[in-house]
Amino acid sequence: MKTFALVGNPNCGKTTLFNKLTDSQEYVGNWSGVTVEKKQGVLKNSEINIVDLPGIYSLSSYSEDEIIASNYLLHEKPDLIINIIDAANIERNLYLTTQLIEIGLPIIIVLNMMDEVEKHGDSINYEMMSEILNIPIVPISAAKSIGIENLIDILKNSSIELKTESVLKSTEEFSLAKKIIVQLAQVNISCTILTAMKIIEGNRKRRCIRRKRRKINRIIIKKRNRRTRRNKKINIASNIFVDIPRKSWDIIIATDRYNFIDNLIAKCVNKTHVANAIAISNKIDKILVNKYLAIPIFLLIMFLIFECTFSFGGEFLSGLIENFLDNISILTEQTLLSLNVKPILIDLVTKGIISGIGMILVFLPQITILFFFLSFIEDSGYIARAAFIMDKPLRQIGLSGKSFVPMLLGFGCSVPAIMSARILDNEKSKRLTIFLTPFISCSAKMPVYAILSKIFFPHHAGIVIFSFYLLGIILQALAGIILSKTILHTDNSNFIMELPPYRLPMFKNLIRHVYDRLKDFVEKAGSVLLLASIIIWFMQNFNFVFCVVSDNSKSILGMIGKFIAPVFTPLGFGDWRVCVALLTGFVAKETIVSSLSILFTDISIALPQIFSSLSAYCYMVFIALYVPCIATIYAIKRETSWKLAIFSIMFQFSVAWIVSFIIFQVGKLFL
Amino acid sequence: MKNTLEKLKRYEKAVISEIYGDDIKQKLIDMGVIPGTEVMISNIAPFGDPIEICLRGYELSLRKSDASKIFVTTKD
Repeated sequence: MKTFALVGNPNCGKTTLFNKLTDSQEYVGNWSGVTVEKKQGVLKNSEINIVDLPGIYSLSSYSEDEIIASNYLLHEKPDLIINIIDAANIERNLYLTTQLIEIGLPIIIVLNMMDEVEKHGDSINYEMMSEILNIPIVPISAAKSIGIENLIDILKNSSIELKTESVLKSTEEFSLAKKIIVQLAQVNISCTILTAMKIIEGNRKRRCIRRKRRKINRIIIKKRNRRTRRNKKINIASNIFVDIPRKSWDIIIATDRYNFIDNLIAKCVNKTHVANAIAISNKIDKILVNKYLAIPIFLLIMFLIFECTFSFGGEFLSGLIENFLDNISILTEQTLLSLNVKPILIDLVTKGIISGIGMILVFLPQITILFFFLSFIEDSGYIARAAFIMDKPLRQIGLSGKSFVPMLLGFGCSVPAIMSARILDNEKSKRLTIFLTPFISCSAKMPVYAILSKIFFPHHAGIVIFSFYLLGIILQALAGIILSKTILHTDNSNFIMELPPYRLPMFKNLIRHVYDRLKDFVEKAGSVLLLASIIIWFMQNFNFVFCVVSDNSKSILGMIGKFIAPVFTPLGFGDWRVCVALLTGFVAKETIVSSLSILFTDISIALPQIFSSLSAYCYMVFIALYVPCIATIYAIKRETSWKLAIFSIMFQFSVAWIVSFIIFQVGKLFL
Repeated sequence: MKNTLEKLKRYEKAVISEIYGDDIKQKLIDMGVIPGTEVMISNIAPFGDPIEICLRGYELSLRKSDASKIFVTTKD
């Protein structure tokens, strides 16, 4: 089976093309770094594997996703490189192409977004470009599905060979690279032109020359099969460096590449309007990134999202689902009764399963609306501007503007948010960003806030819910300031980031995003929550010797709850049932609501007997801040280490406990 | 006239002449910020930093502290 790799700059439509080529539905957004891991699929009606690599600007491996892509290309050696180029931003996109050629693998260029180019009145003579580069070029528009069938045919049927070595052929560095390759070949090391170029570049830095040499040796040693020949090779590698004159090779090579590109563009691209997309984006930016308007607009956008999510989605649509589920519950109970099913089983179905999962399904509309807006922000390109606006304030708390992307996505779900922290190319800021992301209340906590606020603060539910989000953000900032100066020390990061032109999100893509999220949500309800509901129901109806108990405070759950309750008594909620609910929230935050509704027959009557308004508020504060769910902890572990994941659990728990304690104890003095 | 990038006026065109700063140099080169490239500042963030520059037909943001490592020449 053949493997083709999709390679291109970030945000050039790679994932959209990948989805079109393979019929899969991967996540697409309008910011650099959406694809952070390589993904595989099979080309339609064929036996060809397509690998979608993270977007990269070059093969110099600056950030983690770039390393993933470069390593894959250099070591796995796919059968064909499909180099996708954003035709509207062709100049910078071709830079990567000039490097890809030097890997020595067969390559085909796909010119994407041709429709945008034509819309602006420009034209690209891709046939001539193909001739000059000696590489086949296929024009397409992935978003509009133009030229896809043609591309699939070409990929399936033709055998593409590499006919060019490098675009730098007549330059000094090229002859040097050739010499290096010849020298290395004498000791049976194969070396691509690209690697040779890297060796030339690496030779320059006088200050850290020794370290650099070791690094280059490592590159070469990797290519060597036998350990015994190590010393010989290091000597040869060092000898090569003597031959290279000391110059700023990194800049010389890049300049030569760009000179080639400039010539190519002068010959093949006809630009009538000067970068129209940018002109439009600049006009929008004059308002959205305006000195005085930027912050008010940003806050207004956030406010509108929450208002739509909670008021419209919460009050109206959720009410409809709630009625519907109530009817189902009654209907099921009657049906089961008429079938003479044992009462305990009826109890399991209605009080365990239906109320456990039903409570969560009520929130489908809210989650739909929230994700719709988050996807809109992501697809339109505003998210990059928000990062741009927030860079300076975020720097004060040890983060960078790029940290804003994970923070914003964190309102949806912490797991993808933590994954997206990979766009940070500084390891230390990345760790701090990941660590602070769970402070943002994710959509799974929304049901808890909504239900409890409605019971205890019926007239001020909106403000109360908003206060949890605000509290999370404030504590995140405080934790950032403290941690960045102490244990999770961050050094100087940078904010070198592309600001993509604004694009009107395609409705189809938005629906796709929302659908994916909802599918996750419903699947979770059908698996984790279903199982959790059954286990909770079981544990509250049976004791440790598996006998049915009449008083559920003597059940398994009752015992556990009473054991942990003293920890929470100083925070105002020492009832064993609400403590157990917190415990189950560790699996997934939605489970808290499921547990409460299983443990109490009618929460709107039962909870006011346990909680005062103050202690209910403290309970929600605790939920807003305490340990992340299992999936999040695992994501933290995968992106960083177990050490940080465990530290995160302890840290979040302590902060939650202390803050709730202060609010409860201080509040008691006034209320 | 020689100057550093962040000192340019908004929409004032200039050509990059030199880049310092080993930590960000490679990243800048990858993004097409190399000597000979025409640039201009197209926007400044509301808090005064970072700045948005326009080059090679696209837009890039960077902090003033990093921009101060890029030398440019203006026409006059």
